[in-house]
Amino acid sequence: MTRLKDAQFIFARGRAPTRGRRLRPLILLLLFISSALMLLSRMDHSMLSDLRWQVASSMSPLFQSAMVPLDPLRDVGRTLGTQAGLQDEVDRLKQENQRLASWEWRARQLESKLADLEAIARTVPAQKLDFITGRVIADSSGGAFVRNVTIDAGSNNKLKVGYPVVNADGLLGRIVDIGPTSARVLLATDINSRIPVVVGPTAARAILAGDNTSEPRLIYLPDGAKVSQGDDVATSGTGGLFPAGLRIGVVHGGKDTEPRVRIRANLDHLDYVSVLFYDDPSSNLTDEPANQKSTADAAHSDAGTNSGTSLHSGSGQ
Amino acid sequence: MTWRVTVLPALSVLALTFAAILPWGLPSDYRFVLPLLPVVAIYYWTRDDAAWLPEWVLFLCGLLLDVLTQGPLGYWALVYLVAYIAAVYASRSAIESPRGKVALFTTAIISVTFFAWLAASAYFLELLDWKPYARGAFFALILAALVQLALVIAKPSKSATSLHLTRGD
Repeated sequence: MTRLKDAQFIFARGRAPTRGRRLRPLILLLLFISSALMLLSRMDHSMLSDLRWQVASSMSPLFQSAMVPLDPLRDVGRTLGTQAGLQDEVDRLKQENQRLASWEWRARQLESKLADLEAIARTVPAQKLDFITGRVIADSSGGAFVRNVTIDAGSNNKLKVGYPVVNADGLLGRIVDIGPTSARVLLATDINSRIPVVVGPTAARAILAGDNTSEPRLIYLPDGAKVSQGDDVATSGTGGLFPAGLRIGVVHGGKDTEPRVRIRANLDHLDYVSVLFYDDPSSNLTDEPANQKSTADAAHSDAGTNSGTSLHSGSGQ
Repeated sequence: MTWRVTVLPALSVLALTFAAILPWGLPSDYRFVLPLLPVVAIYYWTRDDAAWLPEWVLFLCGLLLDVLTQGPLGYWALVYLVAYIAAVYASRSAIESPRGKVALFTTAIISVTFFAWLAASAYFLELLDWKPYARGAFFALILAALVQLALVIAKPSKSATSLHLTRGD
């Protein structure tokens, strides 16, 4: 008993001054470096963004490997989530199916009418879009900063920066960074996302602006534009970044509050996504003919005013 | 047991950092719990004096998470270092009762989450929505409690251990 008391006494005296860890001066340096890096990121230093994507894309094989054990867990979660509201979902789908059957008949009629009208008007056929389907291997949508995902397809699959990314529910976003075997997709909800859209039956033009919330805002709506809750929102094709007519979602809120868009696709449960091989049709345009014409005009006027000067072409070439 | 104190601490923080970027299918408002799980591991290992978990490892793990999430560089590195500082101060406290330890841990997680919200707000120069952060902290505490419970159940009882040691003496 005496031994035990002594031991406790020695233990108490010996441990008190060295209890726990000590902070080393190194931590001050690391805190400073972290703060400095954050400040550089705030200033949007391009060198940092290029470097970080190179590091992130080099790790894509690791994420692809990590998806193998993750799949069963995700399936269990998805099954549980589906089972919870199964009966309600069946009822909803029955009603929707009835509604869609009548719409299908109407759509077929309109399709044949449109084909006839296009043939009469000799309309330029719309660009046929090829696509490739990839898998989401990383999701950076947590936190306050970004809403993007990484997919396991890249430049080896002929993808390019700017290609739109969709799934069965509609537009999700576009590719902003690309590596050989992976690509980063900026989702429509990201704070840096801006998508030209048309809203509702009046096709009011606006910009869908992400703000890192689940429902992006509609900005630059024309004065007097009538936008009401439930109006469809689709890409307008303006600017050539996205093809026209890709559905995005429906208007939510609006009368007294700022109109927002409820995205049709569930961006929290992205698994497989398709990338459209869509190149901006206006990117191939050049102003060569116009330049040549203006150069020729200028040369002609020069020749008229200064007949002694020899004419030369190709200044605009 | 050497690997438990030399390799496991850094490895567990690194593994949880990688797990934070994987597509778990969680709603985006609830995903903030994922990067808080390494914070729980940092707290747990820092309180263990024998565990090898230097601050530069945490800095690198945080930086890795910043790179992989495409968020601002240095943000998670800063948060993990603050978590380390909180854990160091917690490890110096004389509180030994289970209730006191739980209170200390809860305070540490809430403090780190508050710092994360404050740093993100400072980055955007506006006060951000605090609810996703609060939800993340809440679920991180619940998960930590569940893991602790599992460890207690899996651990052999103290009486058996002491009996064995007594026999050895």
